[in-house]
Amino acid sequence: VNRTGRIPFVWSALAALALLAAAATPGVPADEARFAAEASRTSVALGGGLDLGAEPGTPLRASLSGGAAAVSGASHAAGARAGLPHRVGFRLPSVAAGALVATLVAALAGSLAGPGAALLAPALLLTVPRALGAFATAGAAPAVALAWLAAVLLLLRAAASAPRRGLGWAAPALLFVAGVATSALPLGPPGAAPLVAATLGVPAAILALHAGGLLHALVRLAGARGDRAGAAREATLLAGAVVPIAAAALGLGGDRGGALSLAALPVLSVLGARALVAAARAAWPAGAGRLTAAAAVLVVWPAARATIHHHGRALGWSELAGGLPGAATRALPRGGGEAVALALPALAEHARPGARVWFGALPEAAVALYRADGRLRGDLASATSPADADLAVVALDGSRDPEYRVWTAFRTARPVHAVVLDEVPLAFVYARPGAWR
Amino acid sequence: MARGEVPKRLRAALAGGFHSAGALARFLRDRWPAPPRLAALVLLGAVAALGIHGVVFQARLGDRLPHALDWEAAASVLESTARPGDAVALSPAWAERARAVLPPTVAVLALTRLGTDDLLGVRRLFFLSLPRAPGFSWDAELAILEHATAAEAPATLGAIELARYDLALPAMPLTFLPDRLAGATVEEADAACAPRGDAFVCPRGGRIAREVREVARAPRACLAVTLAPGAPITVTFPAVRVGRVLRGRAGLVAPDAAALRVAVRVDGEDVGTAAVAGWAPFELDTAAQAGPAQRVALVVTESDGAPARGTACVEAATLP
Repeated sequence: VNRTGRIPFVWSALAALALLAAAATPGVPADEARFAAEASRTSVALGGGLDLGAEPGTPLRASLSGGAAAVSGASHAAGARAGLPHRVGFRLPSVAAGALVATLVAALAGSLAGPGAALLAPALLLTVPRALGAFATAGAAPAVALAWLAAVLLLLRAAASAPRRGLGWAAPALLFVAGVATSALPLGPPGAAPLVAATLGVPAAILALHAGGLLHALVRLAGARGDRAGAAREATLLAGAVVPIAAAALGLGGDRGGALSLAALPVLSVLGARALVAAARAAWPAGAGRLTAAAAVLVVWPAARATIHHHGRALGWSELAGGLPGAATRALPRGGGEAVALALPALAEHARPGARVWFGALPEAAVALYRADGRLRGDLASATSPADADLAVVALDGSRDPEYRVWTAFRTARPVHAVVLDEVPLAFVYARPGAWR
Repeated sequence: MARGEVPKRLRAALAGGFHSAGALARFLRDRWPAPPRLAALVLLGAVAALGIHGVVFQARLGDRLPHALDWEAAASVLESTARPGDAVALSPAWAERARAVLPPTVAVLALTRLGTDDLLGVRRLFFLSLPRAPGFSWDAELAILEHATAAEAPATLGAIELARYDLALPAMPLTFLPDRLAGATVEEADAACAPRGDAFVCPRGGRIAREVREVARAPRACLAVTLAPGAPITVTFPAVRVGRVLRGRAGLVAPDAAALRVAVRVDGEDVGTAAVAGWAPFELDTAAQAGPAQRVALVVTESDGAPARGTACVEAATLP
């Protein structure tokens, strides 16, 4: 931290502001809604006054995820008293975790490679659309990422202070155990989704830096024959970057493998920033600072633009995937249901008074959050099936069967309103005759 | 120029060239960066190239995709030229804004792979493509060309290309059985099922309805059948015009549903059976039973002792 001065603390404030702005977006993904439903039990117990319909009688899970839900609920209860929108109240702990992770990332990068890396590393983290999305929505992923980064930092510290005791070499194994233990997540089937997200879900230039950072760490590890502390440090960093993604790909995260994948990003950002700074020093020693700055702009600018473009609407896919259109062609997921929020203004404007609306596979908690935050017109009732509905709003994520059931019930496949991004449909609104004015 | 002068000069030039090449090689060798610096330059070059690619990709993406005016132009063309029996195929399949903007009289087919079985009842096919969209490929159009001929040169409407194809052998069904469910009788084992709304609900929990369901990642208009354990469902369609062939497809709505079988009877005579899996096509010879008003029964049963689970989607049509 000494070499980087106040950079981590500046990043802390910057990250908090950016994440707060991002947390104000109205879209509530399905995963976030389920998490908020669990969190709302704590909120209700603390007088938060918004029950999102979690299973009654189910105790909070004694795990990191359960703890994160309790903290989110407590935050909501406090936020509700302060007059914050309900969704923002649930999201504040994620924002805080994101700001803390950005601070630690800047500090770690600074201690490894100087102020240039300290400035760059948090930017590499927060301009990955998935990272910004995770730190700006309620969920367990930010807590997992923070716990993982804390474990990496502790092991780095231990390896630096006692390299001869072999603690450094035990770091990768300890990280693996910590990953499984802290996540307390169920086993799921192995899959390529975490690898796809870790590659095509990351802006291309940042992905190149991730790869460069890993290679750089490998080279340093290979070159640290007599330096046990250095070798232990590099091994710990490599394990911190690779183990979460490998664990998620092996199914250790179950259906929440995304949380584990996110945990790798802070360490990858540090490695990428260190590699860029080292490359600039090697390529042009006299102008390393200017070269680093120029390269950083080329990396961060398109990534930031893509992240802002996609946030709150859809998953961000890199240029290598062809953006959202290319990802849709490859049948990759388009989003998590948050696009439904973008149909709500049209629904408020055109829906017949008192119409019943069916929201497809979107969890009821998401609809309840929209209603509580005043985004869903007060007179519109929720329908339990397309057969009971006058209008249907369906997100185009995963299975399309709910939408086709609407076609059957409404006898039409023609939507009255479409939410599209880069021409890729994200949500459709269907209406029975007379229900859409 | 005297004879022998040219080879001499050529030899001299080549020698000079080799000398220059050698000098160039020495020059490069002397200035070739050390491996660490070379690796650094490669990383910086890759990062810069990908960053610039990212900026250019984002700046040009809007021009590669259709604008509202392009969609209006496509809708206008179809409004004026489409006829009953026409359909629009989309490429890429996600370009489903078409559903909201194209004339409602034209069926929109948003399928990643289009086969002849998907073109039941279609005489002419409009192929609406976004050729400059990221990830676009001509595979869908090539698949259509196997069964159809281009009727005219494609029209370019901004970022949209609209081409018309006439199907070489359009499959026009005599009867599309799911559309006749309302007039059918349904039995679960030997007990009659009662009509309720658009569905038939059976005493032991079975159900059958004409629905659109997702099978093999596409919408399928079909008979959605849910079986109760050990209770086959028989749906009998009276007065069906039967031709030479009964063609259909069957699949399971949920991937974890158990396998089912469909047996077909025409006027009480078994015509054949088909397994319900993966939206697999089946074709049964009904030439011997052809007639203008036959009784066609579909019997849906559990397959090979597997207990019924989930919903099957069965499409069947009689063809001339």
